[in-house]
Amino acid sequence: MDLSLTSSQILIRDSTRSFVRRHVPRAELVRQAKKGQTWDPGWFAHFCAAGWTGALVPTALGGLDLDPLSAALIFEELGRGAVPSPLLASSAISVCLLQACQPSERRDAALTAIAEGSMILIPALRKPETSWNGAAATCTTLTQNERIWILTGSKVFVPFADAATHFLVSVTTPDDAASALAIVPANMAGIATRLLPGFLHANHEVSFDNVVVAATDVVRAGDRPFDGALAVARVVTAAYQVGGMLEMLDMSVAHSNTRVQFGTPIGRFQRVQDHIIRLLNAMDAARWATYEAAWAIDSGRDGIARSYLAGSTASDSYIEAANAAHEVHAGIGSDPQYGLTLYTRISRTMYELLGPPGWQRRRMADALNW
Amino acid sequence: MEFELSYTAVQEEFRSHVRSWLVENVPDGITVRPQSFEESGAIYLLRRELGRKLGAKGWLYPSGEKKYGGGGLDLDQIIVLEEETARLGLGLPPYYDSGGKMGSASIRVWGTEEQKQRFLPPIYRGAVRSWQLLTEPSAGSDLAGVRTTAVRDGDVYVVNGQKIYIGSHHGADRYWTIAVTDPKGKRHHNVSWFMIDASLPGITTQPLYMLSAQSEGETDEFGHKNIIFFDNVRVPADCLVGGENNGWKVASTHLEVEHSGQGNIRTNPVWVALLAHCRRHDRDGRPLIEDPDVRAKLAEIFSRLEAVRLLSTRNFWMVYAGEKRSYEGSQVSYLRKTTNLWLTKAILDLLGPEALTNDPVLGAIDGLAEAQQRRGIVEQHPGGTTDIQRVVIARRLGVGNREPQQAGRLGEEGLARKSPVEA
Repeated sequence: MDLSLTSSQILIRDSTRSFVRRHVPRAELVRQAKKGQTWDPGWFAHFCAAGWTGALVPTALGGLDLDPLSAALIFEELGRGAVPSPLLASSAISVCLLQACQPSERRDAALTAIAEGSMILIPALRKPETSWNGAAATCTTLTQNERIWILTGSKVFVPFADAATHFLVSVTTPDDAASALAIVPANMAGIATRLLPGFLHANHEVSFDNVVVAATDVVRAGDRPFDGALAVARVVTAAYQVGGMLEMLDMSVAHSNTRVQFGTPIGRFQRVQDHIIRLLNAMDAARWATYEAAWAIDSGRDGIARSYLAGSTASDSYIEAANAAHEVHAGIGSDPQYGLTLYTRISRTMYELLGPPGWQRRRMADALNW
Repeated sequence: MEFELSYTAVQEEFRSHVRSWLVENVPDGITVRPQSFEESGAIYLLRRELGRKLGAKGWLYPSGEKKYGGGGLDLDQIIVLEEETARLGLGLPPYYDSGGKMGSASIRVWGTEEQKQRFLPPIYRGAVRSWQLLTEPSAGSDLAGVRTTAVRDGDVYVVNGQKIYIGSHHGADRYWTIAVTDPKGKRHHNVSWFMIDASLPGITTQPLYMLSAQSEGETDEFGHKNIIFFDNVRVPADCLVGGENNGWKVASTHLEVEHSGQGNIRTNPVWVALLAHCRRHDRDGRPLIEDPDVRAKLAEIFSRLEAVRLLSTRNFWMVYAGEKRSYEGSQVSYLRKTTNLWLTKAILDLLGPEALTNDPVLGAIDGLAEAQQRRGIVEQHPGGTTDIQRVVIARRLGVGNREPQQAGRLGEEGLARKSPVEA
């Protein structure tokens, strides 16, 4: 047994951390959130230059083909900085979905374009009034008219749709029951994107009104169910959540040491300590479930079950950790200028990004053949 | 013991009177969720106008003594008023009036007769809206650690300092605040309370948008807070309530009210809306209410909220029956705060991301779910954090081999339910 990181993993983690600390100050995130900016193209350009857009893309297609833990460490540091970007949606979720599709020129070209940064491919999976059930069961109608397809319907809770150069739309086709994905340029006539207001961060409704899709842009599901193919995406998503918890832990400890009430730092009070320990336990449970899932996938063990464990634990833990951090901070924590609410908002927004925790736990039980 | 409210013929007659009066006097759109700051301002003015009309009938502060402009009503009538206004989605007062509620309760117990005559009628009649000003940047849970000073200078006190997380939007007429009147005095023996005219020179206000209303465009009344600065504000000495340096005793009444000591009998509007939503909306082709997971989660939510409702009802009864109270106020405050925070995640489990948006199409229960997601977090802290409530409960129980601490006086004890004949 050896739970330490390799030197290359440490290098990846530290270089990501260094970028976030130098280029993504919290005050700037607060400013962007206040004016409703959902992501920063400048930061995304850096992700491209560093190769992170191709972190999970095979080297033959221009990517870095990182092991799951190395990729997770990038996302952990981005989550620690509450860095908002379409990287997770495009370079993790869409890449995992594409890799589960039957090989085709279009699929490989899309993976290459994502890796080099010329394509931001945003998954649009969920139909209105449907529960999350993985990509396979949430479909929008695609009808064929000779050599073209016509896409009609709408998708909801699409993350960072405003950043999309293309959408990856789960569809059903009349000719077979198998799932398929359509790669649709975001600037096609008939596509409308609407930001959903409120506590949700950077989520959109995307509607498709008789959008023409080239037959070659429809990629078919392969032998692996989409659900299983998303295992790595679940791990790196969980890592982003873990990063947020790590930062909230640091903020809470620092606040407890500097905020004085009743003539003493509040961290001296056991009740405040209890909140911090609750946060710590939530964070560590998610962190080690995530690391183990990354290892399990990389070493060919039961990675799917472990990814569901990591995904559900991280979603539950992020909310638990945010709640505990607010207990430590009291009034100032609810002031958006302070910055804690950046994390609180993400903790809620990401809660069921890849399925609600309860559903993930049921899938874990299935994967473990209970 | 009888849990069910039974109504006398006299009460039903009063209800009929109240209901028809409300139909005539509550304007349309007063409970609409405003979409802009301007619209919320217009609604606020409607609510103030309604407050003045309620005040003229003694219904704005129905338990307030009649000679000071209150209703002087008994429990039978107060219950009916509470139920009928709640039925329309309104509270009493129908606007944020923290200084009015807690200030008037404190003045009833601690004010002089002259102060009661001067301060209570404008509050009870709805002529003024008042905010409480307690928290300071360096004094939150530690209220006795306030640093705002009020130094006597002839017929006035000169007030300097800063209060934070104050009020709501659209301003107030009076500030009910605590300040240090003896800077060299012993802790707890150096503070006093003042009812201050908000228009006095030297007072400035800076808006502060909390998580529950992150910008001016967002209109949640309770998320819009303020920082209020006092710069050599000359406050007439007769605005000091309860005696100089006696403020910690006055605080016992103020905090008892703030910590839910009075209780209430209102149904949680979020619960009502949640149940209705699950009955009316489909997911995966069937009504939400038919989904076993949804039913289980709804039952869990109901059970948790019922505990809060029952203990709030108990407190309501205890005050008006004149029962001796102890930990009950802080217990309800603690349970309400912790339950509402738990509820944020329970609703997320129940409704999914629809609970996180106030989008007119996709937002669940007309944006009420989204507002609850934010309020459930923000409301953990005003009026004493959950940690402070736990301290109070322990002290009231005598935990730690101490003499059990007494509950603060409310001034409403013993308004016992009259017999139907008397009513």
